[in-house]
Amino acid sequence: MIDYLIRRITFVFPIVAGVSLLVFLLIHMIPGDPVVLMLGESAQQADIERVRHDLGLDKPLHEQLIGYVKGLLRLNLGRSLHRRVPVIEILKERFPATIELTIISLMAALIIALPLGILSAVRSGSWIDSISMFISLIGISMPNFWLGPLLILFFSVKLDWFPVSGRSGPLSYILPAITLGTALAAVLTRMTRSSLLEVIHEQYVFTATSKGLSRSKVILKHALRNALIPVVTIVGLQFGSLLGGSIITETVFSWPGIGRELIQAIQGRDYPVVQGCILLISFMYVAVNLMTDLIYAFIDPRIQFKVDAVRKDVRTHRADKTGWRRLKPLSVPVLFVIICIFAIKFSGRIPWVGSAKELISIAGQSLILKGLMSLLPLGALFVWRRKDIRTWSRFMRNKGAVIGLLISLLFIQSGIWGPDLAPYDPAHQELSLRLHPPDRTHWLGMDGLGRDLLSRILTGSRVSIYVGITVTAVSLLLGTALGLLSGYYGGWIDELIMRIVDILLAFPGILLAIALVAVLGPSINHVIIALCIMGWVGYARLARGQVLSVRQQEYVLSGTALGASSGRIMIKYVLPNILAPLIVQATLGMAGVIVAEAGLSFLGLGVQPPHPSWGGLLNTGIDYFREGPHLTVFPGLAIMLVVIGLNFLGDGLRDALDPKMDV
Amino acid sequence: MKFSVRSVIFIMTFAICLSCGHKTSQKKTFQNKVVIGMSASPKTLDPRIATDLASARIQQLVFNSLVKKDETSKLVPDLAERWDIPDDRTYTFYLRKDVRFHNGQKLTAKDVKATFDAIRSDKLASPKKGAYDIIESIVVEDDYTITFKTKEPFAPFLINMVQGILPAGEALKIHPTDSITPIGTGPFKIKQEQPGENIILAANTDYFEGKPGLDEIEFRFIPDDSIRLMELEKGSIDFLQNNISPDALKRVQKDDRFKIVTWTGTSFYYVGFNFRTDGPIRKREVRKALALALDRDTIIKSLLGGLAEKAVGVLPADHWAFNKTLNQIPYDPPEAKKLLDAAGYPEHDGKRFSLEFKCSQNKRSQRLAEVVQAQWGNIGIDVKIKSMEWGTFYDDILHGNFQTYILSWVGVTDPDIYYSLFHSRSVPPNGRNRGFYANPEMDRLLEEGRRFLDLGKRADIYRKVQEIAAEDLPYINLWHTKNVAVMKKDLMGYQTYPAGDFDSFKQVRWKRSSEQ
Repeated sequence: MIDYLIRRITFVFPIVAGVSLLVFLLIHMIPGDPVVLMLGESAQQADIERVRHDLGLDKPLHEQLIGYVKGLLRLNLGRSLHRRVPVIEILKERFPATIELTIISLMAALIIALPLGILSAVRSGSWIDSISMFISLIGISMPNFWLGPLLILFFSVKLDWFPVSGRSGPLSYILPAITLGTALAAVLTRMTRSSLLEVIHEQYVFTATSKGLSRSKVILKHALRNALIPVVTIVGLQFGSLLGGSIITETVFSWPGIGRELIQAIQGRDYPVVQGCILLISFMYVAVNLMTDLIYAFIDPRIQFKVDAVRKDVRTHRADKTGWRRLKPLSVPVLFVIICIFAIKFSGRIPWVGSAKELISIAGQSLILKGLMSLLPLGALFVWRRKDIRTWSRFMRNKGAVIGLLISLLFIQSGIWGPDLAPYDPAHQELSLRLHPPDRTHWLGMDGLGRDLLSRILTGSRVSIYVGITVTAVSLLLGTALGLLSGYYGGWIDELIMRIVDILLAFPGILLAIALVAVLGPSINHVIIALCIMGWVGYARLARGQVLSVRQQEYVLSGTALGASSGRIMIKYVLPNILAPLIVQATLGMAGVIVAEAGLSFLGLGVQPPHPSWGGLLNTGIDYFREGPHLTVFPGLAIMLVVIGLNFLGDGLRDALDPKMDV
Repeated sequence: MKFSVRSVIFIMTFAICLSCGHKTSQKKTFQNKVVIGMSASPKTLDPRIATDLASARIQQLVFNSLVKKDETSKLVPDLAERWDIPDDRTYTFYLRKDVRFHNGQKLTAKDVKATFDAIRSDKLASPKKGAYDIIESIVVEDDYTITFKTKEPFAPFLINMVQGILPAGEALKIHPTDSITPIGTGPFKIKQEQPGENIILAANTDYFEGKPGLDEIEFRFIPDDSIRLMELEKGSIDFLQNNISPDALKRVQKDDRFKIVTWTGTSFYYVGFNFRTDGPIRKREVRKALALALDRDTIIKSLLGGLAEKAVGVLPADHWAFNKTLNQIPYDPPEAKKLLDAAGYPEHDGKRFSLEFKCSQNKRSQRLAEVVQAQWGNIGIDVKIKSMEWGTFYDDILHGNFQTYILSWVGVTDPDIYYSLFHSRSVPPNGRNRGFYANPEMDRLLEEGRRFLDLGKRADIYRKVQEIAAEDLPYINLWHTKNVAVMKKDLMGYQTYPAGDFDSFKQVRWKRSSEQ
């Protein structure tokens, strides 16, 4: 353990150096000149060059880098270009506010999520389970830029309980903490529930019960501890990302935290501040992830970290022909998702160019093609039934699963047919009818520019569903595969993959987006790439945490003893047993992906106006959240319905695929 | 597994203590204080380097300049009680003798010289340096007299004298590692600063124009527009200005706790064209058609809530150099179509040509872009919007990497702005002629306009400039936005300045209960 710690700590430096170098290069290479942005519109060229020279920004890049590294070695982070104060001062100013908020919102989330998750697992299927699920799904579907202002409006303006914004006194922490904590609590509740349900049928729980222990003791002492790994992983991930500052929540609540500072610095190309902030954030991530790993070992004594943990691959003497067939139950949902992505993608083009003409053109594309494509998912279900009647019938017996499947199919179809169903031209403006509430001619009302909201939601479903499914699926697959490798082999493979994860976690998405826009320009595919790059890491950490606890189980050891190859063990023995938290994360994560797409599109990476997307509708609707609440409510409902459908589907799939149910 | 149960109980009790222990009773005692909600926090309070709007607003209350702008943008005495211009390159200022800095020190000509010397020094790397390159020498005649000599006649010189003066001791700290204390002569001094949160100013009771009407002013920095308005509705801020959504303003109008003031501002919105692309927009008729196709009246009425006035040029209608003979371009799509047909762009399949339109990620400009897109679409132009992150967008605009874009100019006061916008030598990086517009007649007039100090002569020249600009249409002139201030009903004495300056807060006060 001590060796392990020492090694992890020595790894801190390459990671931080890696992040710094990456950020240094990216921020210097993206378009935008700090001096031009600082001097404003009245600047003369001579001034710009002079200031650039005075600040040392006219030197070649490698000299600037050397200067920066030299400064770092002397623990000097440099000075802000805009504010002219040392970066370290800015960090000292901003970081406390972020830490306080992080700790409070995490605690609040845990206080709510753990009991609720435990209760809904123990009483699974009861009213309390349904309510907790419902609350979780609302929580996860409401982005902070919507939840925050709503909370303020209700609790501060109407009820006058809390200050609206700012950091003044203990009461001012409550609303931002709720805003930050809600989504987290939602994920944690679902995670605790699903994870506890996994272990609650284990033999040791049964043993404990038959020994005559009280129910609460059995649950809290025997079951919960073994269910905590994914919960700890999520808390770790969120702890890190909250310490990096939440830009939206900090903006809504005028919170003087590090996230706002970083975003302003990126926008103003204040190189030293960006580098300083990210340096700090990457330190935090490394520390938090190390802590997470130590907590794993603490709550699950079977988990051991050893420096030379790479498994000796026990080669089998015969080819493992049955391996693929065994994978069949798992391959069905994977194939299904791929077919759905394929169907949406090829049922017509998804334009990203901001042109009204092209927006209309997507509705008129070949109906026959669309018809064929819309049959594909159904075909896939039919094949499933033919080839694997056992999981199929188990799946169909579950009422929730069927509802989930139906909702999901509905949304797949709306991804294909949405633009054709739009009753009006989604780009047509009627400025005199701005913000018109829902009525009989316009069922969902009019948006801020007098466009029919229903048409825009239907048209936008194409982009949102496509991006949502693709990103979630790719991130899930990539993350699971790498997490599996990392957790199973341990040693340097683990170090390599997890340190890449650390770097990516600390890396601000907006910087990546700006760089991608500059290099690649806008396209829906580039949005998907960007979201996948940022998205897989969470799944990887989640999968790895699970593998760590599973790989010491008897059945895995017995597999090794029987001479199964590593690949076979990973896929056949380990993978089915780590799926539950991954499925939960994936079904809940899609809401975040749909909202994040809009954020990237605003930066110029994705679909451009007037093309709607659900995230974009929600995001622009927030400007009118009091004058036209329908503008946020309906896109929000659409996102929520998707998440509900997926969630039922995910639960059903997990049950259907669970090898333990085979008995 | 005792730990989980215990720790849960511990955490819960802790949380309960946390939430109960701090319920402070909110006593509302009268404080002679105004809280102002601002959208951005100042980057720095150092008047030598600050160029952002938030810094400028706060500095107006902490510092004084030699001259200041009055409510009509005319220059009037401030620290200088009067000034002479013996020839067109010499300016002599006579300082007031009763001015003291917040630290008690007397203001002398040395402080003035030190401030300008610091800005002009290379070490400070001040962004403002360029504005003072025209200065040849600054001579302190005596304690209260100072003379500036310029290298050549330069009409906008006086307006650059609106610059906060620091005491020499602070002003001369020009090394990058120095940090200055913002000491001024103004009606308020800085009492407390929490970066990113608030700045509290306390009244300077020895202010040379008399004690201010308020004891304290607190600036709170609230980046989100709708949140700032909610602060106002809750009553935790007393005053806010601009960046209010017109739709939300309608709601506030109905609230009788507040009064709303609107007045003509200095922000000018325009659509810029690139004359170096080989697209149809190089043709004058096409630009004219595009202008004709915009229904500005409807946009102003609906989207902007009436808080703008249609523009015929960069200068607002009440400007001294404004050309009253210019006509507004009407909303006339049929005429626009005719012009396009005549220019050789007939409609095929409802489409004449495509046009790229760039805007920043700012939601307000995105909305405008979408409206422009729809209205130009009506005359058969397929507009492709590219919304971009601000830094990237600005970089593209400066490098001529665009066909059309939407942006605004803030703080238009001197007509000399035309020189940097439309003179052919002002193309970036030398000026702000980002569309590479060139017209020799325009160049000649703009050079002439700089040389005369006489307002009447300048006005004549700039009237011609405006005519040419209206003819050539290097910009589609959209509108000048109006300033809006929302404040509590009992707040008295707020004066409106075209640029939205806060100067008048030195006489702002609360209505006394005896007043009706």
